[in-house]
Amino acid sequence: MGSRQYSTFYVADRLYGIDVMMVQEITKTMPITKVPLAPPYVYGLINLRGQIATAVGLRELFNLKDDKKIEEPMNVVCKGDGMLLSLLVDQIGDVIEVDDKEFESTPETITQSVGRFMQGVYKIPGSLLSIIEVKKIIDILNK
Amino acid sequence: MPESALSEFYAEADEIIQRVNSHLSLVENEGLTDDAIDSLYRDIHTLKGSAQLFGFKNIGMVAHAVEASLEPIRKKKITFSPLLLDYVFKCLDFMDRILKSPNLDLEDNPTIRLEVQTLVPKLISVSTGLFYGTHNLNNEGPPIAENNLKLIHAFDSEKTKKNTELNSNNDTELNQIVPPTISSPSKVSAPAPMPTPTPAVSPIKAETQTQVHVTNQPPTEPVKLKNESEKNQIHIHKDTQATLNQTSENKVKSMPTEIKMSSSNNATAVKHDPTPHHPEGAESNTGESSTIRVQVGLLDKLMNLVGEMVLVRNQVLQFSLNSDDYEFLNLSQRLDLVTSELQEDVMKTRMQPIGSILTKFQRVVRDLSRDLGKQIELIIKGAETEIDKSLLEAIKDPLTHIIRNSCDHGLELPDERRKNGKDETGHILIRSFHEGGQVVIEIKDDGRGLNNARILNKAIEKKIISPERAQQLTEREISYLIFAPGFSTADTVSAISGRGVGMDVVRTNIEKVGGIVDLASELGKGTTLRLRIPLTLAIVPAMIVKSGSELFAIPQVKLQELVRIDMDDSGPKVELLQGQPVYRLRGHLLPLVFMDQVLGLRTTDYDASKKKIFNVVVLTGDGEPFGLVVDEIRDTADIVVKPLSPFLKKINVYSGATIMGDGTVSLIVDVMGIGERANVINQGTKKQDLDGLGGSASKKVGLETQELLFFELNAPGKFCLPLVLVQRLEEFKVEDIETSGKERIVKYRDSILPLINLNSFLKYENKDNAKPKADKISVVVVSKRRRFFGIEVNQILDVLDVNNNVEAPLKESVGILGSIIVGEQIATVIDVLAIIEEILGHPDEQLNKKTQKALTAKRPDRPIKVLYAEDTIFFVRQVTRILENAGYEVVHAADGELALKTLKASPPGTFDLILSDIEMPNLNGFGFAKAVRKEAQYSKIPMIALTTRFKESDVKEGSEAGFNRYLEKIKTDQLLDAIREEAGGKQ
Repeated sequence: MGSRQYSTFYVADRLYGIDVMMVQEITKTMPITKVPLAPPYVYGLINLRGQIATAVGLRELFNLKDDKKIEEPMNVVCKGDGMLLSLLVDQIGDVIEVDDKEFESTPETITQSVGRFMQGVYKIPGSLLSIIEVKKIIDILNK
Repeated sequence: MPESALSEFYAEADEIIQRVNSHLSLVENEGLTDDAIDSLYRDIHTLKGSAQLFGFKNIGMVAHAVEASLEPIRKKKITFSPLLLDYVFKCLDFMDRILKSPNLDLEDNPTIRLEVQTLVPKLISVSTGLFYGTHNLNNEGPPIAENNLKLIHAFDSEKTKKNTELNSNNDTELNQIVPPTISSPSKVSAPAPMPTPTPAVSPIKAETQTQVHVTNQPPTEPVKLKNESEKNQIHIHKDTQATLNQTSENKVKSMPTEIKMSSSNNATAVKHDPTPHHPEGAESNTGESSTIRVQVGLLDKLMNLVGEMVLVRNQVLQFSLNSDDYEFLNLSQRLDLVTSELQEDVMKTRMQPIGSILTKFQRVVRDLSRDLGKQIELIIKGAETEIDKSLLEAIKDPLTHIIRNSCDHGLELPDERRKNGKDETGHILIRSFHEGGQVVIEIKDDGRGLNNARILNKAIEKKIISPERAQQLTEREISYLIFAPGFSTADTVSAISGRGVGMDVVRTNIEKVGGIVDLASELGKGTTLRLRIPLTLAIVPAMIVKSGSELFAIPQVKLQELVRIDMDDSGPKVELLQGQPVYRLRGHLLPLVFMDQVLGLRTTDYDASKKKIFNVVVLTGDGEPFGLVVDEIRDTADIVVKPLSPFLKKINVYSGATIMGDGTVSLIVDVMGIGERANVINQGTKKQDLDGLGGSASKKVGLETQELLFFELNAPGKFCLPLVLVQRLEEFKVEDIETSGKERIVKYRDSILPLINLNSFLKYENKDNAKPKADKISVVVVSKRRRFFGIEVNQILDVLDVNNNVEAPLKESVGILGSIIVGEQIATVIDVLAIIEEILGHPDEQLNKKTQKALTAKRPDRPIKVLYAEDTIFFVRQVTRILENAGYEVVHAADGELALKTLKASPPGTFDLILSDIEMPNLNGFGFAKAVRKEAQYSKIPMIALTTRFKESDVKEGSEAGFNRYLEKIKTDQLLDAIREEAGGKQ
């Protein structure tokens, strides 16, 4: 039994985590070029030192109904499948180390709009950490 | 052995070995995954097969041993030990070495044979040792996994001999070749922590070897000697300055000398200085390792960075124009020079001589000249001209097409040539050279040239242009009509140069990579086609425009001109035609498209009264030009194309993105996509009846697309049949048609062509009596069992790629396969083969007909549907064609996983039979079969494995997994028989 590290963040006051190894960097709000005709969760394209990342709003992707509009979302930049994906989140949390034995697979009751991106959940003191799998996001986006 | 095939093998083998190496390292560092081992196994298997095919027995043997040793790992019977990894690495290095110096793979080379005989049994014994839980090398006892039995036996006798040699004779080459660890068994039994690098010194020539022996120095440091020929690799030259000054021509020529130098100097280098770290100067003196191998990924990154640098340079230059600081001006000019040179050199790293594809055409032309009964000579000049590797791939097909065209249409038969006072032998000259930062490829023939009068007639006849418009065309414009979609002079169309798909495809493909096709022709003298190809895809000149609040880049190749329309001016204005804005551009109507509207930035329609000034970018997409109205026209700029995420590319309006001078990202507009979205291109060129049929359907070229030939009959709507069935398109004069008994026939190329009138067969009456009877009939020639049949239709429209499936018709009727959705319309798919059978009932066809009938009895409304899982495109094409020719419907899936998905997504009973490859990514054939059989509803569906793996154990594993049959790939008769029996047997 080992432990893993997750980069955590909040979207609509819920706590999510992504495997630290998948995260290339975290940046503040960047200038975004809109992509007309793209699905609503695509905020646009951002320039990361010469590389282009596609910014995807997790709030929209997860279909989280929350009227609170975040003025300055943070970018969690992930690398996958030869492209850069920047996930827009409300707030960045700590990097959390969790014990493998605290892992549980995603319960059936979780709504598909979020559940299909989840790998599972870690029970951490005082909260539950939903693990988001970048590969699943890319797969579903490309479908 | 054809040179090109061999060099392809080299490239592939090289790639495989590299990939396997990296996979193995991954396994070593991060542990074993199923994917990794599957891919390893697949690669080695491929390598084995192709090595044996090309006669590299030694490589084949070693690859076979590696494959055999991987087998138990794949089956999860054992797992990698450091020792086993070590040996696999050694085998790889051995194969790599042989590939680098192919003349060593002679069967009579004792050194190599000895090495194989050492490596193979060792590897096998390590693998079997693991299997039986022992690492002891010396204990190679009898228990051996079934697959390895043969191998061991083969080497048994040799081994004893060699072992004695090994231990007694320290002086043999073996000491050089086999690392010291092996000669002493005690060391071997201890698990090696890391794989020892390969035998240090690679023997390159006989003389080299002896010299190495004399030194009698144990090879402590791995001095890997390079003896790379200039096959498919990218060379980086140490001496950039030298390369720079050389023209590409003499560079290529100088290559072999370089190689010779390095190999002859190797021995001395080793003798004097066995360490790999030469001082800088010594290296260039000896000429050693004048080439190094670099990852293509790194080169791509370099290209990108240089691209960025070019952009910065441009900004600096622009900035310097407004500065009067003399020093700054000077510096920026030097920056300009250096950057240009740097850009040029970095690009060179990805360059390959165009000759690698041009020389292939010698063969093509030779074959064609024989088939056509013409004397043709192909002259190739400038084969050393270099071009980006990816571009080289992209222009291969269009070039083939052009050359076939020249041979078939361009050049005349010897008789005709003699009559016209020409040399009996026709000449095709391919010349390639650099010009103005582009590569020009010129294909020139001294044939009959284009007959403009005939082209014009044809174009009017095919309704590509209106007779009125035809009056206004210049000679040049007329000859360019051959690029129009759907154009082909039917009486010259033949099997060789395509079936009505032609120059438009060539042009589209060239333009896709940012190239241009030019045409010049003189009647009776010949035709010249000039392809202008950019040197690289990475940087393109573009026009920057603004629409809404964003900037967009439009590639310059698509841009014809810029027009500014001022509504207050006295000149032509924007007018509305049936509600759609148009503009009179020099007397021609130019449809206008509002960019913001197309992109959904504005939802309201155009209001003439509000807008005063229109900025129009005149673009050519697939055919007629159209005007894109933008808010602002900015500037031209060289932009670096960056790829978009696949899901954004799917929108089909952007071809990429770029980073502007100020660091913001801008989208690159895909002109074709915009045109399609605005529907201009469709309405523009395919006015006939093909609205909605065009562009969008033909754009989505994927694996599942099928080419359909569209035509008209007396009934409304369009009809089509699969192009694979079509041999030629012909036109016959009505007076040439004869009647023989009940059959209508026509003389056709020394034989008789029976005609089948689709209208009368399908009982479509000619209601439009007003229409005068044409004096010619359009005939689609199809072949069935080597006989030709002429299918008479009203008019042939076009050939399109369609990637929808044929839907069964509502009402069953003979000759109708079903209908298919093309664009926004529905076309009826004709089942020609069934019609021919119905009409003829030919004895030959009885068997086929019976089985067909028996098979379709259960579900009479559609043909047998086969699900075909296969990852290799070649086989997909071949097998699909065979099956479709036999009247089956084939649904293809690119791997087992996709096939399973397709199967599960279709209602039960959709597929009557499953064909599957074995070696596939994601989910292989065995896994696929098991997964299918797991579901009760699929347990009865016949499954046939199609494979190149034909070992008994495989066949057994196949039948255990659930395959009913195990067949070799591309054995047409066997396959059809098997399908007939299996699919028939289920009833």
